[in-house]
Amino acid sequence: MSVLPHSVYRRTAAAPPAGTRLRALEWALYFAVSGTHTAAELARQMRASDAERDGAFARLVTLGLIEEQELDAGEYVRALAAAGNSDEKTLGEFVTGALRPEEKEASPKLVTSSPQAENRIHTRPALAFKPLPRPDDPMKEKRPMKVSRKLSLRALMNLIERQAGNRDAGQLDIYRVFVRVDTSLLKRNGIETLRFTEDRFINDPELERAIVRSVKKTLGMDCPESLWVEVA
Amino acid sequence: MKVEQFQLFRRITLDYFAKLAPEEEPVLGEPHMHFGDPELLDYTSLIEIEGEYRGCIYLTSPSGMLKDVLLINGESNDTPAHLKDMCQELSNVLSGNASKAFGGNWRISVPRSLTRSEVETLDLPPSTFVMPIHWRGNNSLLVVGLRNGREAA
Repeated sequence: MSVLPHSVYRRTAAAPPAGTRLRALEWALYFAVSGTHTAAELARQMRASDAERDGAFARLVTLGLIEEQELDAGEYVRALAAAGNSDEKTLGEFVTGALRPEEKEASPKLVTSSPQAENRIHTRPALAFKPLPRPDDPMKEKRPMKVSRKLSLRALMNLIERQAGNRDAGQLDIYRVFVRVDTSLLKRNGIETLRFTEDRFINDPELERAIVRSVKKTLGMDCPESLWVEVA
Repeated sequence: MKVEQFQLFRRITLDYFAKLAPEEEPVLGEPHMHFGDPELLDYTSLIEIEGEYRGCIYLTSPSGMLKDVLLINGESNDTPAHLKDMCQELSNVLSGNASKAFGGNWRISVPRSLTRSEVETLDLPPSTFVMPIHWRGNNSLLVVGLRNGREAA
């Protein structure tokens, strides 16, 4: 099974059957996948090589313990950015750049009529990428993106950790804040598991109010404006 | 729950596993919060706590880890009854550690050993602080669950 570095996985509803035995990396990845981080990010965190990562994810999928999360276009681009390397790329290369070398080689070869042209093509591997047709109204492309301000949970958690003075105290304070938040509100916003290092932008005004209220009640602190970020 | 108490509880719980197999110390994974149905493995060693807060602390473990602890203790029988006994032993350890870490202001329930289906019938706190423990190829979860209400103030 091929695992793209920017694939995002989540645990399936089925719990591991009794007696399930996995390698340490497989268990670590099983507990780490939450539908928010790419395979590449998690593997980096576990210091796993590409081959180890691919093997572990493939086995977990085969065992039915995890499944790939479907992404919308925005999430896909963020996943690409999070998974990729830091080499400079054109937009086209960026969007198709997640293909592995072997996949690039497997992409359709161009038929050429001259050896010079063939040489040129071989120096830059052909990518299986077709640009989308031009929109009917090119001006539509120039409209400004809608931007809204959303509460960033990472900014909030960073602030609480800084105020607490150390990581453990900060994480306990963050937990105490979330203890006061109705879990049904969190779940309806897709927040079932939350790491202290991950970011979520809150769309739901009711959840936002509940979190702000809990910060005030639990820590006696008002949430500063800097916790809201502009999100396209 | 003061951070020093929490750190002491976590450290002495990890020390328990480190003493069982000094050549292979447990590794604490990245902690996270979990909301809703609890994250459960095959067997759960649980104590309820009440004092400054009300809630529970539990260690939920796969059968493989309990079998390993049985073997380390010289017990090769790993029937469900043996595994549950081992889980009870871990509950006793948690209880002792909690008494030591959280001091006299806390009431700690009788430690319990529960299978997954037994835990699922309990009304556990819906928001939990989860600390994965990687040890000898197995992963357990050390979980603190506190309840909302005046106790969480």
